[in-house]
Amino acid sequence: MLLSADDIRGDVAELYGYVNRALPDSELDEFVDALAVRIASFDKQAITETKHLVDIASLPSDAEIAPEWEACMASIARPAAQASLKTLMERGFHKPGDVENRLGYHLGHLGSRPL
Amino acid sequence: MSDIASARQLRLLRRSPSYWRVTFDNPPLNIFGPEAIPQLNEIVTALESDHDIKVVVFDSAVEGFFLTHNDFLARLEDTTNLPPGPTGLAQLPDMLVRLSRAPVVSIASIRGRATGVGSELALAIHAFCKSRKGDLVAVGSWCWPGPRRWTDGSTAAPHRSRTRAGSATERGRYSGRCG
Repeated sequence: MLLSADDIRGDVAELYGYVNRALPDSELDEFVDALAVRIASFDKQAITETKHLVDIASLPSDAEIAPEWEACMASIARPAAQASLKTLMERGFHKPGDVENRLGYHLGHLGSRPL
Repeated sequence: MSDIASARQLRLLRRSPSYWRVTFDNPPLNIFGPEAIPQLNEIVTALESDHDIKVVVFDSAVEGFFLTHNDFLARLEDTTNLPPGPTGLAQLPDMLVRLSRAPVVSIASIRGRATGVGSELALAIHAFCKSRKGDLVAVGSWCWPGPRRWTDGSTAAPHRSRTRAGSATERGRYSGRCG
């Protein structure tokens, strides 16, 4: 995920654990709403304490997150990223169309001629 | 601030005192720009401080796009020059970390593309469901890794994640990283 920079579909995201569940489109709204209503019926303190314990087990410290953000912002400013952004913009980035619809594909073809 | 810059890009609906919905509505692509930062901050602050809220669902009003990348037509300084948030982190990671810690369960209901900020938001929150129809992406150099990690410390274990994803739903938790 970190280095391929490609699009993945919902079922693959589920396989990777990137999402909890991938559902048929027709079932998504009902599933989410039922889950939300169910959790909202429970005791707030129990929810809060459970979430806090999960955070202890899985949420990195702020000190670990800060350099990730800094690396991201610094990378955008670098010439290589700016050149890639310029190419993407020329091909339709930030406009409705194929670059936005298939960004992963177009990122993988920055060095080739536009379609 | 111009009318465009001040337009609401996030809509908050209180379905009940304990169940809120937040809808990203910045057509046509649900791009996340600097003007959305205070709007998201307002919502995260409300989630942290409200006494009754227990669950929030994030979704999109824009077909095909849940929430996508940074606004690269905006000046980068409009994001990087903002003062840090209460955690001391820059505003976007600050809000995502605060959302992770808020005493509220957050669920992303994802249709369409969740890239960049949308991917980060999804990684910051707990339960996370998406339509099989849609795509999800993590995009190269301008996406910073999400604040969640595998509880065993690994960052790439897809054969394990199948089990983890299955159990994650029941426990209301999930782990992952994007890039």
